[in-house]
Amino acid sequence: MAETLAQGAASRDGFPPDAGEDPRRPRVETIKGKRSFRRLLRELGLYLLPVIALFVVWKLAILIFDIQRFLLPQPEDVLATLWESRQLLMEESWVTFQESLWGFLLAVGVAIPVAILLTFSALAARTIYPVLVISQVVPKVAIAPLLVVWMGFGMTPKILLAFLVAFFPIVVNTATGLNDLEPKMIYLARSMGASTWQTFTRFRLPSSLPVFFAGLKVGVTFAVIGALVGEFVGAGKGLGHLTVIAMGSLNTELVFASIVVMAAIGVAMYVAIELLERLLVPWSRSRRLEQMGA
Amino acid sequence: MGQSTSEALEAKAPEPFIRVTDLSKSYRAKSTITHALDKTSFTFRRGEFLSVVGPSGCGKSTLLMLISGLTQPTTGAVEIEGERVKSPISDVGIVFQEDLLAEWKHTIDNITMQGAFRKIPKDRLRRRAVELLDMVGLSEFADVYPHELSGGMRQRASICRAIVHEPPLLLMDEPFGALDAMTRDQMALDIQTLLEGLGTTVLFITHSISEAVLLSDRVLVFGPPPGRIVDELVVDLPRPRHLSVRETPEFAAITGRIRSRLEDMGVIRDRAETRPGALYSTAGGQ
Repeated sequence: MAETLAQGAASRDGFPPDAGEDPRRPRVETIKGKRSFRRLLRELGLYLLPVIALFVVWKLAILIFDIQRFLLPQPEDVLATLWESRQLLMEESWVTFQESLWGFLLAVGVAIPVAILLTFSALAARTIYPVLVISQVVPKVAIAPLLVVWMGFGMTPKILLAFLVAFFPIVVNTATGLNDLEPKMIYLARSMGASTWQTFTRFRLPSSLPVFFAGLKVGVTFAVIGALVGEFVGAGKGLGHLTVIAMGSLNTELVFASIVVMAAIGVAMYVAIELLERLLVPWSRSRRLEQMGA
Repeated sequence: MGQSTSEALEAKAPEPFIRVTDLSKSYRAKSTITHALDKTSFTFRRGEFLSVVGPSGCGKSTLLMLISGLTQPTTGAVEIEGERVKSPISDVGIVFQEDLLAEWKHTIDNITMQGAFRKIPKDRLRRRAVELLDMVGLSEFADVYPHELSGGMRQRASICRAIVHEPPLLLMDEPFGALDAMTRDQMALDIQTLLEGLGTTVLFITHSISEAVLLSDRVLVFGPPPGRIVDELVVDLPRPRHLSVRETPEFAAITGRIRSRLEDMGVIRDRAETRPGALYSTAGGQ
């Protein structure tokens, strides 16, 4: 008790911050500046490490178990095919990329208004949620052939499949994000004279962004899978189609090469979303880093 | 806007600033009705620091919601300057137990946010915000996001936000409830410094008897739910009050009376005097 008083009295004059709250801001700044480059290097290293490990295991497996070439090609052969067939792979992946992107954008465009509706209308929530859940549990692989039959071999059924797969995680996360606002924050906003619309745009919307972006990241990788499923089932173009053709002629190197490109498309789209997040939600990004102890 | 209204209010000083008459509030759930507040009447003077002490669930928070117009009473009325409160009042600052800082805004912008919907000149508000942050030792933290602040710093920023537009009325609902004891002491001192010379009327809701007495001009003691005023004490200790005032016999006399009053009501039982969990008790629980 006496100590409490002494502390209180000592820090009274001019209010220097409490113990442990000293003005450490400049120090924080310098550390940040110095760290970012080293951190980037370390992050890159961390990304490359599993890839290298995979290569080693791959090589060893072929050596030890004496695996036939048409079952599992050598990694360097896959790399060679990637280079030799780059023209073909680029063309096909451009199609797959477009399908994924449009499907994803469509999913975002529909998910946002639906999520807003879910947030503001209990009736809508009750009627829409079952439909959402059903749309999620119906296996997309099963309806993919139907869509192809209905819409032909072009890009439309793939975009639709990408949309269907990406939609659910995006809408659920957006709705969750919109409900993230502390209820008392609404009281506070009203006492500040904010209208319902202002409360929505100035409080609810920004507070939803971290969870919204989490949904986008899941959704964007799903969209690529959706587009590929569509291509596997029936297409004249795209990486999925290429894989089916290559498999038919036991060109395993090409199969592997297109798998690598598929993964690259997914990663690229994911990274794009993450960069967008860093740009738009810096406050969430820095909080996450802090929690990771970085 | 905030300032012109407060000047207008000062002109008619002798009238009670706020009059609460027969105020009751019941909440209806599916099969039960909870009576949070029961026919409560009292008045505030302008510039008075009024605390409300009482057990959990005694309708203290409900009182704040009713005075701010954020909820409407079941019966009775709140009048501010003779005018009945029928919708949320905006000439007010509110601090809740949660700091409710916007994570997406820097500390300073969290404070100036107060003016966003009130059309107060931005530069004036900003100047005042800088002043306030300096007074509570947060100058260095003006341009960081709230997640970089500690709990006490966040609540300090939240208090700055509630008074940056110099509202005539400040409502605080257990503002130090989530803070540790030492930080609470510091906050109590900070509140006095921040409000010095502003003439703000304050309603301060708390669980802590000694905090209420330390800060207030007058303390209302609420009994067990449904909330009613069971005692009212004037605290005429000289200001500014330092923490050491808590060791004076005068201070102890007042806190002692509140404690025994709450004991009489069965709110506090001797076996566990200050544990918050032990504050729950029914009226005839002795």
